[in-house]
Order: sequence, then structure tokens, then C-alpha cells
Amino acid sequence: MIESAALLTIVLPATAAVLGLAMGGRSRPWAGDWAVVGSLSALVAAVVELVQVLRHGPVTSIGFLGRVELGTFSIGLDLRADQLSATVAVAVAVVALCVQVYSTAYLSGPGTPEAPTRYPAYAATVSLFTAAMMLVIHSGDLVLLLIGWEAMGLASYLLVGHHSERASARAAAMKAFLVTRVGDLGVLFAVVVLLAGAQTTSIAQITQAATDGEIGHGTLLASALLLLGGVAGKSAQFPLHTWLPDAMEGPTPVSALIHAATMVAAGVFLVARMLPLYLAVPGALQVAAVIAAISMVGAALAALAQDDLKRLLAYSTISQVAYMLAGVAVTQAGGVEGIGPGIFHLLSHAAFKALLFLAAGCVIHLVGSTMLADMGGLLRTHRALAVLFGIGLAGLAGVPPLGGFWSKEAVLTAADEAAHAGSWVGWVVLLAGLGTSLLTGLYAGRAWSIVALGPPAGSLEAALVGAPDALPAIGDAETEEPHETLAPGADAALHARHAAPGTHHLPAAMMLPLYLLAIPTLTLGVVLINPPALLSGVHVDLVTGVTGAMLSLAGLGWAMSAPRLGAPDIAIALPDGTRALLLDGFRVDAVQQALIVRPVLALARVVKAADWSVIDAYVRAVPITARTGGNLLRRAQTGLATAYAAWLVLGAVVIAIAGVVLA
Amino acid sequence: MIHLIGPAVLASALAGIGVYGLLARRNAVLVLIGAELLLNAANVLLVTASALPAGGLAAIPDPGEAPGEITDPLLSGQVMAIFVITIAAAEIGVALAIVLLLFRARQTADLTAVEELGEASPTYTENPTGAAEPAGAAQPAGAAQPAGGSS
Repeated sequence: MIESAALLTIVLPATAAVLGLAMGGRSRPWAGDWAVVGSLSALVAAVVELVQVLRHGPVTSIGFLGRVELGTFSIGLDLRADQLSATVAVAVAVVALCVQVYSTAYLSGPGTPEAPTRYPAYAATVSLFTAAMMLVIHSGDLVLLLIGWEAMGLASYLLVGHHSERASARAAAMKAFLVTRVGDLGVLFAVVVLLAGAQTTSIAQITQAATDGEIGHGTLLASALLLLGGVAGKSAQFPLHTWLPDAMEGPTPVSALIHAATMVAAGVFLVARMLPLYLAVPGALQVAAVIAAISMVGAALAALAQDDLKRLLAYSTISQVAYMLAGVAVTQAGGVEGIGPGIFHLLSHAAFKALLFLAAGCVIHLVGSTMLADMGGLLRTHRALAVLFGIGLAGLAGVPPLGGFWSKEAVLTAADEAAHAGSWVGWVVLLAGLGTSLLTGLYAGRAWSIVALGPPAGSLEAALVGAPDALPAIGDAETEEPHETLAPGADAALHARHAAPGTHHLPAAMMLPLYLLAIPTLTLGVVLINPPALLSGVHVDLVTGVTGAMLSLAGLGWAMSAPRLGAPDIAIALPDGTRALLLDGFRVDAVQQALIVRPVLALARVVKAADWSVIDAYVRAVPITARTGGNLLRRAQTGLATAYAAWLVLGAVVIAIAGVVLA
Repeated sequence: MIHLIGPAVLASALAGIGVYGLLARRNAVLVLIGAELLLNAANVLLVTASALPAGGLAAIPDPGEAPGEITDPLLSGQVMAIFVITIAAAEIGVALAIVLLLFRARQTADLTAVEELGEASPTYTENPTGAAEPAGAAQPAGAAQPAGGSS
């Protein structure tokens, strides 16, 4: 039962992807049906798996792709199903389902010639993305995990560059692919190191051997650090985080998928999965904690000054994923229980970040722009949407008693315990985490006051005054007719033509997922009343919890008081230089440009020049030589018989002289 | 045994006259005679060389000494000369036939008047027969065939 469920979570979305591409074809309804049915059935399978795992315990080996014999090694491409994989699978499946349902409305219609929606390909890629993530979280072998890991990289490249008509989308897709690929190389090398040092790639055997101290320290440290590189790439942690804000070029539901369920969660999941390996080499965990602390604070500061709603949310993701990584990195528990806080934050983050992105998609859909400056007054015009957006922001800021509060404070409590156990890493993470709580409150409150409270800006005001109460009632999808002009493609570019006033209905397919995601955002803390073994390490210290909550509430209050003081945007209080610096994300892009991109491009130019002027020169010389030789030889063809005879005599003389000289 | 200098000088003279005739004469028959002279220079050398004793020039005995045995009973030099005469006969037959045809066609045996095979010739063409055909006449017919089939 568990075996079948775990298999189906992978196979069903993959099948949906293939069928959606093969049979979706031009008939849009079919593509949408395949995608939604695929993700819905994957959700059912994941829930069944979770229930069964909770009831009957984990299954450590499920045959999947057989074994690969590589000379002396034998790699078993097997799956495993335990509480970790089943729990994350449910979160992935929920988010994927919400995204698929949402996308049927968000990417409806053929789009415009400049930004065609290409829905069938999109839906199939999302299904593929889901299947790849399911493969990563279920794989019992690092090689199989790497396959899913790379498939995710491919899917993210395709989805980020979905609107490939625009140069910025192509550049963002390329950047996402290359930057995460840098990290992926780490995973690949880690597999090689482990294969050489531990003679196996089975996760169970590696973790067992690491716990028993059977693997050499050098192998462990090298593989742990290399894996950490992959984690930093996929989870968008410093210094490989730069692709994530740029990846906002993709359609908004894709951002929800990447940020909430797949991709960025995969990195944290990998650390959690390989935690016994990391516990054997504390140095690697300390590196992870420091990376997390830097990403946490830096991304929160950068989020504070963003002028684009999606980029703000992207930086918040970097910051929140850093919380997860820190939660795993500061673990003091000797066993697997240590992953509790990090994974719990992963789950709650999946809920509220998907909610936030999908709600942001609705806002962008209404406003026709992703810029914060174009938004405002949502609370007056679309109250339900504004409340849902607010719930997401509250979860992000960690307002008690939302799920985000419990998970974040659990991480801080773990850091607190580590700090009091005498670990400097604990202090670093605790201080960074508390500082980030304040910053998170600030930028969440800033987003709320601009989007929901602030005055309706420009065209939005004109567009919305006529229809202040245009939200559809949830549940009457039949009466809700899809509107022709509500077919967003390239987020900002396409929405810009939403000028028709009084027609801003939001399709039920876009609102339902928001309500669905609001439930776990609000109530995930309930799980802690009777936690499963996976979350048994999660607890919230009273002092830490109160401190963290006070800090984030202070930040929220500070930012939300801004509209009363005149300007909804508290970021204008920052000095201009600081603000520009934060807007650029501390100019990490410029640093990378100078340190990596330019030298690589220069090297490429050198190689190209060498190829052209050295290797190609020989090739280019061949026709020139032949033509010159031909021209010389055709001069000899005079047609005069006497001239030919002269050549003959000349040849005879040359041969005679040669014979005499050489004899 | 006569001295070697005689046949050698004779061969050189024949070869020199032959080369001169080959290169300098314009009349095709005289050019052929030059070629014949060259061949006969070779014949004289071959016959002379076949009279040498085994060991070649170095083995020639001083005057007064008994001449050595001619070691090659097959007289390969003389046989080669017979070959050359035979081939020369065949060659001159073919060549004279060509000259005859040339004269019939052009009413001249002057070699400088026939250079159609050379690029420098005013009447030279890369495609001796193609110029008469209407260029591209077959092309539209071939192109129309698949177009008609698909419609």
C-alpha cells in the first residue's frame, strides 16, 4: 500500500505531463484536465502514503528502476517512504494542485501574439516539475535523487523562461539554469566522492555508515560541503541566490510552485535527508548555519526596499528558506528528530508562500503590473482577496497563532538551545533570526500597507471605482463566466492592457486555491498538539517565542502605521543610497558579474579567437591553397602542343639531372 | 672494338637535333621527325651500352688487353632497341594519322594554329556542346512536376 502510493506520487504527475503534451495538443480543456487530474491524484496518493506511514511505519526500499551494475558498484535505484518524504509529498501535492487549478484560469485563453499563454506545454511542465520533486523526496539513492534534481532544474528553466518572447525572461531562465547548475555540480561531485569513499550511493547505507563512523572524515567533509553547494544553488542561499529574484520573470503560479513546494524546498529537504552525514561533520553544519544567517538577514534587508511585489516575495523566500536551513543546521538532537523545526517551517512556508504568490498573482491580474507603486487600496476594492493576502503576510511575519509563528519560533528555539549549549553557531543563528523577525515584520507590513491600505494608484483607481465589490462568491463557479480580457500572459506586459473599468472579476478557479491554502496557513500549529515522530523535536520556548513574536509584531506595526503618517511606503525613510543598494540586493549581481561572468566571457573570447585563428585557419587554408594551385596549373594549359613537349623535355632534363646528382 | 666516344657523340647530336626539332619547328611532320631523332638517339645509346662488358664503364679493359666476355647473352640493350623501333613505328603511324586528319580539317599542319585545347585560345569553351542547348529549358518542366503532384 505504501509502496504503491509512493510510486504513484511520482508516476501520476509524470503521466499527466506526458499525456498533457501528447493528447492535450491543441484542445485546451484536455490539457487542463490532465494536469488537474494528475496533481489531484498525486495528492490522494500522497495523503494515502502519509496515513499509511503514520500507521505502519516507514518502508525503506521500494523497487523502482531496478539496479544499475557499474563494474564493482551496484546502484539500486529504489525509493523509500517515511514520514519525512510523505509529509513533504503532501505539501508538494497540495501546492501543485492549487497551482494547477489556479493556472487554468490564470493562463486561460490563447494570449496575445506578444505573449501567448501556451497552456498545454505549461501545464505539462508543471506536472513534470511536480513529478521531479516527488522523485527527489522519495528517492532512496543519491543517483536517483540527482536525476530528479536535474529534472527539476530543467523544468524550472522551461517555466521561468515560459514567456520566451521577452529577452528578460530568456535571460532569467538562463541565469536560473546556470546558477543552480553550479550547485548541481556539487551534488554530482558529492555522489562521486561518496561512491569512491563509501562504495555506495544508497542514502540509508550512507547515513548508517556515517553514524557508525565507517566513512573517512575527509570523504564525509568533502561530500557534505559539496552537497551544501547543491543546497545553496537549489534553495537560493547566499552566494547562489541571485537567480531567484530574477526568476520572477516566470508566470506567477510558477513562482508559487518554485518557492513553496518544489525547487527551493528541495535543498533544505536534501540537508534534512542527509542529516546523519552532516552530524558526523559539524564543520559542514556550521558552514550551513553561517550561510543561512547571511541569507536570512541579507535577503530580508533586500526585501525591505524592493519596488516590485514579486521580487519582494522572492527575497522573502530566500530569507525564509534560510530559516529552514538554520533550523536544520543548529540541531542539537543526536538523531533525525533534529530536522523537525526546519521541516516544520518548510511545511508552513509552503502554505503561506503559495498563498502569498497566488494572491499576488490575483493582484497583478487586477492591476496589470507587478510594481508596488501601481498597487493600493485592495482592502476597499477586493476585501476577500486582501484578507487572504493579509493572512499570507501574517504567516510570513510569524503572527501568533498562525502556522508561520509556530514554525519560526521552533527554529529560533532550536537556535536558542544550541546557543545555551555553548555553540557559537547557535548564537549567530539566534541573533540573525531575531533580527530577521523584525525585518520580516517590517517588509510584510510594508507590502500590506502599500497593497491593501494605500491609496489606489493611477489606473487601478479608475478601473476599480466602478466595481468595488466585484469579487465572486466562492462556490458558484457556474455563474462565474470567464472574462475574455482576463488572460494574463507575460505578467506585467500583458496585464497592462487591463484598462476596461468595472470588469474585474476574479475567476473562482483563482480564488478557490487561496481559500484552500489559507487553511494550513492559519491552522498548521494544530499539528503540534499531537506531533508525529518527525515533528517530535518541535517545541517553542516561551521566552524565545514571545521575543520573536514581539519583534515581528513591532515590525508589522511600525510598517503599518506608515499610511497614517502620510506615505504608505516606509522604505522611503531609508537614505537613497542605502535604498538603491538594497534594491539591487547588495549588488551581489554586480560582484558576480565582475568576479565570474566577465572572466568567463573573456576566457570564452580567448578560446573563440584561438579556435578561429588557429584551428580554423588550417581548414580555411585548404580551399585557398587548392584555388591558388589550380590557378597556377591552368596557366600551363596553353593548348600549344609544342609547349607541352617543352614541359616534357624539361621534366626529362630534371629527371636526368636528379639521376646524375643522386646516383 | 671502336671507342665509345663515337656512339656517344652521335647520340648527343641526334638528341640535340631532336629536341630542337621538337621544340622549335612549327610543322607537325618536322616535330614528329624531331621525336624520331630523339628515339634513335636513345637507340644508339642502348646498343652502345649493350656492348659494354659486365661491370659497365669501369670494367672496360685498357687498349691492348684482351676484350672481356660479353656477359649478357640476351643482349638486352639490343633487344630494347628493337622494342623502341617497334614502338616508334606504331607511334609514328598514329601520329601521322592525326597530322593527316588535322591537315584535312584545317588545311594546315602548323601546330601554332591549333590551340583549341588551351584556355588562352579565343575559341576555347568549358562546355563545347552546352552552348547550343537552350539553358534552363528543362528546369521549369522538372520543377512543375512536384508542384502539380501536390495540388
